[in-house]
Amino acid sequence: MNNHLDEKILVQKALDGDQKSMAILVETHSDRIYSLAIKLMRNEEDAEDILQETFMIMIKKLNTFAGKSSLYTWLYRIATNLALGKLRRKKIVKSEEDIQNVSEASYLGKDIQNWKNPMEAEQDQSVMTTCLEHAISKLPESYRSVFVLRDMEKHSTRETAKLLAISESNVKVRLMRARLYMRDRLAENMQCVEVIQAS
Amino acid sequence: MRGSDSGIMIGHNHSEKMISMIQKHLGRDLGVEAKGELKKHISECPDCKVYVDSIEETVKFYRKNNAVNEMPSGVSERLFKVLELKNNSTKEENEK
Ligand SMILES: [Zn+2]
Repeated sequence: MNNHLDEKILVQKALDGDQKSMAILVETHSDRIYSLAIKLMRNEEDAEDILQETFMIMIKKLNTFAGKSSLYTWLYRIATNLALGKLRRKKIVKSEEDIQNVSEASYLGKDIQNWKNPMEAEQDQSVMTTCLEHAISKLPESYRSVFVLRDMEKHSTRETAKLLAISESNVKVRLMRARLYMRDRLAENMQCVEVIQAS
Repeated sequence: MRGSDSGIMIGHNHSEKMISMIQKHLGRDLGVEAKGELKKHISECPDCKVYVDSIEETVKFYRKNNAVNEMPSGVSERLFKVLELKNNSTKEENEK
């Protein structure tokens, strides 16, 4: 289910005042919107706020939804903007930062020869997900939004720059730093898991 | 300026140009192949190869493990309450 046509019909019914259709739209998209919010906010309370605000806006503004994109894309933009706004108010997303010294300072700073490929570790999915979430939660806040939008949500550099209102080169630099950071954290986590399992 | 070289574990000298090429390469989308000078260097330099591979594997890893989490209990109920809607399906919707 959930193709474009069904969605159009549901949206139309919801606009005509059918509460049941509105509820289906909420039900269909709420998990994914919450998931996005939790990745950006790293905090259940904030994520829940974003979730609620997103759907309140949906209900209020559904008549402005042109149907050119999917409803999810539309909701996604609303949720992302709300989350980024909130992060900015918390002064977590700094506007620009110096990008001069990324090249060498962060290059091969860590003991990469001992790096372990997390793909090779045979763990069940829940352990992997826990490792990953742990690593993301340690990611410095100003890199996280770039990392989530760019690497996890797969937005282009340009889209990410637009969403965050920073320059494209700043996106690239932060992405690079975030990736390095994630690599090192994941490697640490993998080792930690091995130790736990060996004991 | 080379900054402090202390943390750098490269066996031979890397020009700043090379380092910046590698950084640029890694800032791109995954799967974009290195070209020309950069490709040649990576194929000849084990340090840079590990460096580039490790980043790419990391990205693959977290993309693979990027699950949509279900909402914790209560979140959905509160959402519907705030929206003043009735939740049709009582947590039995499997088709997504
Ligand atoms: Zn090299």
